[in-house]
Amino acid sequence: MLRRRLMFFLGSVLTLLLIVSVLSIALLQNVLSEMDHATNQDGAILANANDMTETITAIEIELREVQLGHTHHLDTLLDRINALKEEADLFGRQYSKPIPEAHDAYEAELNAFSIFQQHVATLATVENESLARAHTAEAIGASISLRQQIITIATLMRQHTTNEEHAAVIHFRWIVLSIAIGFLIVINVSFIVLYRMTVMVTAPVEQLVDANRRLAREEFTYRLPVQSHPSGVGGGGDEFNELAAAFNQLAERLQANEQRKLETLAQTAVMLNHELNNASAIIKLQLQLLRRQTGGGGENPAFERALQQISESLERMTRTVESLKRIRRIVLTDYTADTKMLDLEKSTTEN
Amino acid sequence: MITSRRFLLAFAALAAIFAALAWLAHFPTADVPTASAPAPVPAIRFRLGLIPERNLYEQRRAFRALADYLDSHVNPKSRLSTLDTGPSLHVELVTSSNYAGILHDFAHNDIDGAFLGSLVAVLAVDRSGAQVLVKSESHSGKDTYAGTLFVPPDSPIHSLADLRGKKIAAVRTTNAGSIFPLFAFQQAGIDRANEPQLLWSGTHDDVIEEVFAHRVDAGAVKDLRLDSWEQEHPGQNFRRLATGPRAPESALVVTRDLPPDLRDALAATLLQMNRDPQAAPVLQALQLNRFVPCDISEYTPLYDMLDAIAPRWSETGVDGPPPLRPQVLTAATTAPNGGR
Repeated sequence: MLRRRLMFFLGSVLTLLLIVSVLSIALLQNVLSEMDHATNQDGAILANANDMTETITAIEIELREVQLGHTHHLDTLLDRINALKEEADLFGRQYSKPIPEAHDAYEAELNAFSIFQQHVATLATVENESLARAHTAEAIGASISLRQQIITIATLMRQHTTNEEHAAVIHFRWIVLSIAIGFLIVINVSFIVLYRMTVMVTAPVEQLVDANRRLAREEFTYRLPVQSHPSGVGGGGDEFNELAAAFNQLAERLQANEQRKLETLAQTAVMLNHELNNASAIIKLQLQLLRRQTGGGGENPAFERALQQISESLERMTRTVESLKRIRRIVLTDYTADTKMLDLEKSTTEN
Repeated sequence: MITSRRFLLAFAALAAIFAALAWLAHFPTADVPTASAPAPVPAIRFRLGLIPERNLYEQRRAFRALADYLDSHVNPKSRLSTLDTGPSLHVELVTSSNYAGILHDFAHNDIDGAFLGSLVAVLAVDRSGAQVLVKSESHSGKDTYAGTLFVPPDSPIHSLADLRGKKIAAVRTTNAGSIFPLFAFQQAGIDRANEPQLLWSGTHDDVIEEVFAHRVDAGAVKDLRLDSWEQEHPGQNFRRLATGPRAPESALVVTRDLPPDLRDALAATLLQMNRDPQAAPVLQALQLNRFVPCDISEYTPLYDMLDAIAPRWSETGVDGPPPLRPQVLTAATTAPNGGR
């Protein structure tokens, strides 16, 4: 039962520690992913914007190659236009979504792309110079507009990302502070619980030690408190309770034995008192008769001294027997090296 | 003590189970080659040339869909084996910037086939020995087209005679852009000194846009493209000044070196597309009803026009000599429609 209670407390502490740890990790993961997201997004914006401007440049170079007659195949050019369209769609979709301010720039970007695409296609196939010039001017304008919108969206998005990073850092600080406070609370609770567990073990042990010392001092009446409800965690049914009950039973037995001994001694004392009083009464009577017969003993001092010694010894014996009736406990003392005898003086005192 | 040991053992077992599950969850899936898997047979490559005719991007998307369809449906006899796995044909698109480029690719064996307008088709047949397989039938049910000269509806030009000294946008090396205008001017009796100036644009759609934007006075395009443009732009109708004789609409022309089984398989697949539900979106993207058989004899009206303008061939803007009528064809019997 005691083990169960100890496991309960230990388990509670471990569970609390586990919960706080898991919560801390989850919160830290969350804020770190926020920071990671912001950092990745920042890098992705730059990379995407760079990719788009690189693709626009590659389209212009490829278009120039076609116009100069270095190649008459348009597949590379068309692939790059398609790539630019996908990049423009992705760029706008991803970055105009979280920031409404970028919506207009996104629309303008798509419009510029559409114009750019149309004129690039025409320029790739047109052969007449005057028509080519007209389309070149419009294509350049669309290219510039496209680049401007890319820069606008990238700038807005970087501002948005910077704000997100700032918010994530503040969030991170609060979480670190909360975790520190949480762990302080857990440490305090753990200390209280561990102290409670220590007391749970040491207090009964100290009581048992004290009770055993009392028993050693023959205080057979001392009893340990025993819980009346033996079941349930936190109830009185633990091993210490069983030890206390066993101790109390032992003390009761010892007390009963002692009582029987005292009663036997008292009965013996009554019997001795009875017999010795009878004998001493006769002896006293005979001593008085002897004194009268000898005339008070004045003529024979030695005889008188002997009678006196007999009388005193008789008194002493009578007192001893009388004192046997007042024995409260049995206290032994050494009589010889291997023999004990009753310490009458101590046995008649309370303690 | 025993209970404590059991608890520790249970905890250790639980931890081991979780560790094992985590390891299993991240266990790299190795590619285990199956002994019975046959080695993949490389697909036959077919390079399909494209000429910018309408919106480049839409045209390429439509032909990409056709290429994907052919990839999965063409099975040349030489590849019919139970051990062959995967697509037997891989169609690559090769987009040329102009019609001369396609002819160059035919001559240098850079492509295996192409969907061509009538003039480039006869040039390819003449110069590279190419073979016409199938032609396209548009949504309107037409499998031939004609060159047409047109002006904006608000234009002061009302006849071919009004085109004197004007600027006409057209696509070089095309029947509609290079041949028909000269033929029409000749038929209309416009003297060469006052003939309109032809400005070479890239595609038929570009020509229409140039006319629509009033960058030029008139345009010369395929009538089917002009029909499509007008359908796509309701309320925008051009005034057509003249329409030429009809020639097969965009036809698949293949090189003479193409293996016969692949040529036949390609033609068979294309001709049955209108009966295959899977091909419906492809035909829809191409704005076609179906493909129909075609041979060189259907180009007779074009050869007749070429004969008519033969002395002025150098003015067509087409490099090289004019195409010669194949010997299998008899002399032209259809009189060209010089105007309306």
